[in-house]
Amino acid sequence: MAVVVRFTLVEILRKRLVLVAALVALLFFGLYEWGISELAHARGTAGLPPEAVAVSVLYVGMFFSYLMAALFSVFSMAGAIRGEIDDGTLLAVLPRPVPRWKILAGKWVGFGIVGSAYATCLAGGLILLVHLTFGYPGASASVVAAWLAFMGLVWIIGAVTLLGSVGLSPLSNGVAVMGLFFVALLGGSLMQILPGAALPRAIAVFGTITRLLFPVDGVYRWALYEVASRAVAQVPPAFLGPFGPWPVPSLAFLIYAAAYTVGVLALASWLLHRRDV
Amino acid sequence: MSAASAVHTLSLAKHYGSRVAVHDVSVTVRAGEIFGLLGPNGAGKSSFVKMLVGLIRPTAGQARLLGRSLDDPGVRGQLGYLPELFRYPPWLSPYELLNYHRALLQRPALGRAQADALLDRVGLLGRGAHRIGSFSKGMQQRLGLAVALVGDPRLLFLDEPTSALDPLGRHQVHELLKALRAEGVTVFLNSHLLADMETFCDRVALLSHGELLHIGAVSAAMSSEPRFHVAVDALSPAARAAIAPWLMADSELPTVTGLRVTVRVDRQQLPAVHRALVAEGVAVYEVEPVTTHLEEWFRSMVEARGAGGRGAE
Repeated sequence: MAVVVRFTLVEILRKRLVLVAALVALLFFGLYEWGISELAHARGTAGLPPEAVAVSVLYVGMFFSYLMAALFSVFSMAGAIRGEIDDGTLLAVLPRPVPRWKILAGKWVGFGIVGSAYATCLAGGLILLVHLTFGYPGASASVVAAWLAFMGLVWIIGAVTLLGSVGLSPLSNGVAVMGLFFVALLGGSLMQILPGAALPRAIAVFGTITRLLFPVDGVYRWALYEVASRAVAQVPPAFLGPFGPWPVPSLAFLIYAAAYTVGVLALASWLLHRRDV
Repeated sequence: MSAASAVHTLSLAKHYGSRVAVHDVSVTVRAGEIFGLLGPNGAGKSSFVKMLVGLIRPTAGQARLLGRSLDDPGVRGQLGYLPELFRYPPWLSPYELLNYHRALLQRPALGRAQADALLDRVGLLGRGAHRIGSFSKGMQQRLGLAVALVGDPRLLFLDEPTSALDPLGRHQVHELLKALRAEGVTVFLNSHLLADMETFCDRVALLSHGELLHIGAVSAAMSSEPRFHVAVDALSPAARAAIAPWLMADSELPTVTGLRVTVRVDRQQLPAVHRALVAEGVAVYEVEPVTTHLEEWFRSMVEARGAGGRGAE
């Protein structure tokens, strides 16, 4: 399996995808820094705690980092299996004496490593910019926990994209996974409008279903909470709009997300094992 | 089955719902022979090979390669396969690709000299460090042959191995096949290029609409009935009567020098035909054997099957 990981890494690094993603990230950071430095001069004018503006700009930035990491994961893996079968690349590989699940897992790990590095650069750069501009998040924030969860997003999205890539063409798979991603995002965002006791039951049910269907949004909200838990407790819950972390997922949910990922990979392996190529 | 068989299938079949890709095919390929699978487009040749290399799962039947079951992981390390649809990662170099496959085979990496020797066999010497993305279709097919050979296979499946090659490339593949035969490698060749089959295959099988129509030696398929064309000045009624036992009906064809007739006769009896003609005063200019080319045989077999199919409707 290590050889598949190694060659998947080579593949991603030699494609222009990484270069394009890096350029987009630099553009993002430049615009973001310009925007938040403007906001830093205006802070305190809304009569809110001083950290409220910092946490809201951090959350808006995290949201766009999340979208970019998700797009990177989906686009780099949408054609991982079916795309390579259709163009012939996998036809010489699959007859080799390597179980198909190892080829799938090798691709997942290879893509996961590159995706994690990208997610780390995005979230790390963002947190650093907010810290330099606002002095927040400080040492008390659980930045490491948030970082791990943020990287975990890439691995979850990667597993689901790989599952889709077993049967769907790259384009259909990309549309399907992004569609699922936006449904989960919609469910998670709706729960931010009237968080806490005021949350309508139907919205809570919808949000819970979408979190279970694709736990990526729940893990993202958990990362949000961890990176700014001290400050976020001091602002009115609805102040953050759709970018908030509510309701904060439990540890059991994180375990569910990990089990979900393993289950998705197992299903993908089983389907690939049975698939005629 | 014989211990010396490299491929043995028994009623192997592949159905996609109601569509039959391969139906009930039983074939034995002997170790060390070059075996050709012929068939028109869509006959099921590639599906048959894909079942044997583990890309698709048979619907029914059994198959053994090198005396082992298809599910035996040990057997897959001894196979080489060039797919009909070949493409190799454009971001790698041939050196990297060959060693990727060596790693998949759990074999030690090839040194530069070994890799160059392999690339030389397929006409890609000097290209080992180039990006595959810059290769033409023909060069990628040559590279596919090197990939198929990288594990020193005992059994090689080549699906249309010369489809993208120019005449020089085809000649190199012919030389490679000769060398592989000398090395004792069993080669299972799918090709629609009948000239390749005539030149190299020890035996051929003909597949049409997923069914096996014929299997046997190429020589048998090509020389079912000895015939000769005889060029003469003219044929008097007496001369025609003298060779009547051998003369094929409606075979007389006017030519610029006179007439060409066809006689059905063994080579040993040919002097008798000649003597009979000369005795009747006929000038004989030329005697030429008529070979049934594989293509003619192929067409007649497929058309006969088609006629049979229509007759049954």
